[in-house]
This record gives sequence, structure tokens and C-alpha cells, in this order.
Amino acid sequence: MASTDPTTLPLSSLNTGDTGVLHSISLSQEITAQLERLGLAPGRKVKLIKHGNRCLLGVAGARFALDRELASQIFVS
Amino acid sequence: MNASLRIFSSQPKHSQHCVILAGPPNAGKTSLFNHLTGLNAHTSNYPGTTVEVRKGEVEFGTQSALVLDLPGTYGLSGNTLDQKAAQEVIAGRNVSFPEPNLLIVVIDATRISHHLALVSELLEQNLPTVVALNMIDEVERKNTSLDLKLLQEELGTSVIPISTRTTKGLKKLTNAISRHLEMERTTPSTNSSALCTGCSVAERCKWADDVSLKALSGKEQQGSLRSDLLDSFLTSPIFGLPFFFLVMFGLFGSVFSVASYPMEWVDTIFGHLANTSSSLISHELLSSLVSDGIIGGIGGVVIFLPQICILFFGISLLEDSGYLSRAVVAVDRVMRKFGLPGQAFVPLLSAHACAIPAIMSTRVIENTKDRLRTILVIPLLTCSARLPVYLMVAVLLFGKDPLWGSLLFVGGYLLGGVTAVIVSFLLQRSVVRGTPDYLAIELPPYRIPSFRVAFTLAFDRAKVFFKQAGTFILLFSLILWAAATFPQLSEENLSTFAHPADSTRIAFLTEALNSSPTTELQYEYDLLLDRYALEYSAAGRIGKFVEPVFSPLGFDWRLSIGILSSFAAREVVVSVLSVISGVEETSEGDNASLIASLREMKRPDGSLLFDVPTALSLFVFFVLAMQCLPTQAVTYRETKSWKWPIFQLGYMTVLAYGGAFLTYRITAHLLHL
Repeated sequence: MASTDPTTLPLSSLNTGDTGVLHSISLSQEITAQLERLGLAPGRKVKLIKHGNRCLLGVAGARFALDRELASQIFVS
Repeated sequence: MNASLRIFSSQPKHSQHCVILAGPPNAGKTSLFNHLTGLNAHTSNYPGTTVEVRKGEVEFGTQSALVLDLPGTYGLSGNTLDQKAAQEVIAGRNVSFPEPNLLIVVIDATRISHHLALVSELLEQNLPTVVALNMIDEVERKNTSLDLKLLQEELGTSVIPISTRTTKGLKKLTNAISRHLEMERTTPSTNSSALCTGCSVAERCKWADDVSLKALSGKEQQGSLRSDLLDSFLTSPIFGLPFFFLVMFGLFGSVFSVASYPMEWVDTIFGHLANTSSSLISHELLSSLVSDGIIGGIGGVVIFLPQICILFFGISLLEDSGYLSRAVVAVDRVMRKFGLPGQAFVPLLSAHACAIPAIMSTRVIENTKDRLRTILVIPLLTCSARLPVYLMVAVLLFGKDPLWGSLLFVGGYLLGGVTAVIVSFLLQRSVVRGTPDYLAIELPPYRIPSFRVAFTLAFDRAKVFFKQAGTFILLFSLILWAAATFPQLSEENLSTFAHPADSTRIAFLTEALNSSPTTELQYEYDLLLDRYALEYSAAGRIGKFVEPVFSPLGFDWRLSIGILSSFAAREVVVSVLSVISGVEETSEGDNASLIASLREMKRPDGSLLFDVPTALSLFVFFVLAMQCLPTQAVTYRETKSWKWPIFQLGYMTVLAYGGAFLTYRITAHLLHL
């Protein structure tokens, strides 16, 4: 699955230190709900702290570690 | 309905009032709970992944209330067991608890927008609510301007800044609680029009961001660059993993080195107690009951209390510092290959203290198959109840040599850990298929860990352990003492019961003692009498009966008694062997050391019972065997099926028997025995 909006790009393709606004999550409903509960909700600013197999993110003053497989299905603009 | 909740203590009489602490993980909820309840809380868990509802009776001014500490949660809408438990308790639908009067929401002042979404959800629960804004000291230190009045208005409820570290604001909070309790249960004062009733998570987050931006006068709270760098280092595969091993090495190293002192005290104290009681009580049977049955039995396990406390103390400090979550990220990649998700790491770590809270804490794993695999392998990890056996074998084999003794311990931990990983790998490809969920975890801010929280936790564990030693293990020791003492073999029957080879010797000894008694002859006679008395007893007969099953592992009938009785609780074996060797040795009255009498146990041919192959085989058996009824009960409760505890028992017994057999044969071959 991929985002249909051409102005968005996967979170995993941001450069370290870059910030984007979370646009959509193209994952199963269950995982999407789980990520949203953690605070990774559309409309929020996301900073990519570190690239890698486990991406480190900064969201709303909190930080998260996310598998790259997940980060590649999260789209930011 | 309350299957997902575990209540550890006996049900207290429902107090009039009930105060609930709720909030996201790592906001200091447990810390506040400890401050409120002191050491009176009933609990059996470990921090962060507080999976049970903990409770304590607290006096707030003139009002007494039951305070409940709910599991840390990011939201109420989710489907995990924790979230369902929280929903039930808050809605007053859980029959075990009174309907709540007041909800205290504990959030972290350094991450307001992150936590406000949960606050908005909790404010809709139609309960009087107070928001405790924790870590306010950190916000003040950073000189962030935080408009409390505005926050209070936006939330429509009172917001009290506190710091569980400096205890700032706690008095104000307890006063507010008692004021609320004095009033009748009223409708909440929440101005819900300002809130986001029935919103989606995304809308809640937007609302939370807006409110926090206003309260922080337009500034966003952000993590520091130093944390960014530290996170990159600690979670990276190149540095993170070696660092992780270093931390674990340090943790277990300090557990053993620090604990060795109090352990020696405990050993000495129980040795003295046994000596004193046997010299004070002249009645032989009664003296044996007290010194072997009671003191020997309890002493054998209480000696491990220091290690358990120190391990939990250490885990609590690591968790509190924020490191454990980074460790999860560092080991996730490796663990995934073996069918275990990164989230399984903290349960697996705490399993090194006790499998029961570890299995319950697997509730943080959302994927049911990941969770099941984790539950199934948890009992393979070296829990503290195995340490008595490890130590017994270490001392039997290596005496006081610390190096070889430690190596044996490391060997036990490694054997358990590696086996767990391999079993999970095999399960993933057979009985419990499926790849683990991808990692998504919050990394809480780095903080100086609280010694108070760590101390409370260690104290809690000590209480649970003592209770176990004082009830279950004491009972077991007494039953075993009775089984090893009765029916009693009278001296008249000795020669008829004894092995033909010994009966001529006994006849000779009896005659010689009648005509010209000497101490040497008397000693030999007593030894024979004691040995046959044990063989004659109920325990002896059972041991003899099952001996053929265990003899391929090098275990004689006395060890077989130990193995059989330890299927309910493994640590019992040390007590059992202490009791047996004590009963065997009443002639000498030597209770100075539990271990010394074990070491002198002999086989019928006069060779030592604990030769190297037998001791190692016993060791491997105990590393791999499922010998803990309470764990099986928890597996049943958490999987809701008898299939899994039976499977656990089955595969672990096969592993233990096979492992011990191979160990016995190989070492015997290598040593040319």
C-alpha cells in the first residue's frame, strides 16, 4: 500500500533531523490504532531523530523507537 | 468478568471511599502511589509494566480511602488486557472494588501535549477528577513558563503541580483529595464543552497540542540534543548491544557480590538457631522437628532473599532511569529472529527474579501469538527459586571457590536463556506460528532513578517471599520431615530390615555394644540405624519406588525424593535435602552448615552421593525443569486453557530429563567414572 497523495513521502525517507507533518498511516487498522494511541496521529509534527532499522522519532515532546517496516508505511508531508 | 485483574491480598473490607490513580506509563504514577500508601500497599509486580491493580488503604485527613493504582495506559479505547482492566475499574464495573469516588490522573509536566489526549479521555468518564502534574521541578529548572490557570480552565478541573522526587505539592494534593472525599459524590465539575467528547484519537491529539501550546505560551516541549545522542548510541546495533551486555553483566555481578554478605549472615543465623534449638530441646523427635523440619527447611530458602531483593532493586533503577526501553530497542533485532518481540525483553528480564510477575507482565505484548511464545519460554529462565539449587551445587562442587562458583551460575543463566530462545524459535515454526509484531515503543525521558521506588519494590518482593517461606515452604518442610521420620524403624527391626550384607555387621555391632561399648562402634551403629530409618520411612519407600526412573541421571532414592517433592516448587529441594540429610545425621547433631551435611551424604557403597556427574546432572535438571505449580496456574489463567500449562510441563520435563541424562553420561565418560 502507498499513500495516494503525491505531496507526501514515507517517514523513513526523511533525513536525520528533518521534521514533517504526519499525514496518513497505511498499515492494518489494528496497528494504526496502536500507533495512534501512542500519539502518532495525523496532523502531528514528527521529527526523525535517527535513521536505521529502528527509527527514532520525536513527537509531541515524546520520543519513540519504530521498526523501519512501520516507518516506511507512515506518510508525512 | 474480572479475570484480567489479579488481587493479591485478602479482600479488605470495602472502605467508604475509593480513589483511583490513572495515567500513562512513566509519568511517576507508581512513585505517587508509593508516596501515598507508604509500605502498606499490597502488590506483586514490578514498575513500568504495572499489570495488576495495586491497592492500599490511606488516611486522607479524617477520611480513609482505598487507593488503586491502575496499569499505566496510553488510552482507554484499546483492546489490551490492561486497558480493559482500567476501563472496568473506572466504570465501577469491577465487583472486586468499590465504585470510585475520585480519579487522580498523573501526567508528566515535561510532556504535556503527549499526555493530554489521555486526560481528555479520562475526563469523559464522569468522575470527579484531579490532574496531578508531575515532574514540575524539571519544568521549573528549564525555566519554561507554564500557565497553570489556563490549563485548569481548558481542562475544567483542578490541576495540581507536584514532584514525586522533591515531594513538592504532595501535601496540596492530599488536601485536595480529602476535600473531595468529604464532599458527597457529586457530578464532575468538568466543563466538557471545552473538551473533545467522543473525538477520534487524531482529534484528541490536535486538541491536546492546541491546549499545551497555549499553556506553554506558544513554545513546544522538545527532547534535548543530549538525549538524542544518547538514544542513538544506546539503541544502535554496534554500540547498543555490547553496552546492553555490559549492563546485564554489571547487574548480575552486583547481585551476586553484594548479596554474598547478607547471605552469609542468614546462613550463620539459621545455623546458630538450629544448634541452639537442638541443644535446648532434649526430646529427640521434637528437637529434630524444630531444627531439621522447621529451621532447616525455612533457612534453606530464606538465604536467597538478599539476591531477590537486590535483583528487583536493580531492575527498578534501570527501568526508572529510562534505560530498559532503550535496551528493548537494542535487543529487538536479535530477539525477533527467534520469534520474540522486543517488548518481551522486560518480561524476560524480570523472569530472572520470578516467572509469575513476568508472565503477567507479558500483557504489554499486543500480538497474542508473540505473547504465547513468550509465556511458554519464560519458566526456562533462571528465576530466584533456582538459585538455592545452583548455590547448593556450586558449594558441593567447588566449595568456597568464587570463580568456579560464579562460572556455574553464569552457566545456569546461559543454559536457561539459550534454551528459551531456541524453544521459541522452534515454537514459531511449529505450534505457535507467526512473525512477531514490529517494534513501536515509547522511549521515556532519562531520569535519575528513584531509590525510594526501588526500595519499595524490593521490600514488596521480600514480603511476598517471606510469606511464601513462612506458609507454603514451611508446610512442605514439615510434611517432608514427617514423611522422612515416620513410620519409625525400631532397633529390634533393624537387622531384619537391613540389607543382608549389613545385617551381619549390625548383629556384630549390637553384641559388641552390649559387652564393651566404644564411641566409634556406637557412631557406626547410629549411622546404619539412621540410614535404614530413612529408608524405612514413607518418604524412603516412595523414593525407592521411583528410583529406577531417575537412576539413569545418577540420582539415588534420596535425590529422587527431592526431585519428586520439588515439582510443586523447585526451591523445596534444598529444604528437602536439608531435612533428609539432617534426619540422617541426628547422631552427630551437626547442624553447623546445611551444605556440609549434604556434602557428606554417601551412597551404599560408601562413595559420595554428590560426585561431579551427579551434581552437574542435578544442576541441569533444575535449570530446565518446570517445577512451579503457581507458575502453571498463572499460565493457565493468562492463556485461558489447560493445554498450555500441560504443554509447558511436558516439553520442559523432556528437556530436563534429556539434558540431565546427557550431562551425567558425558561427564562420567570424560572423568572415566
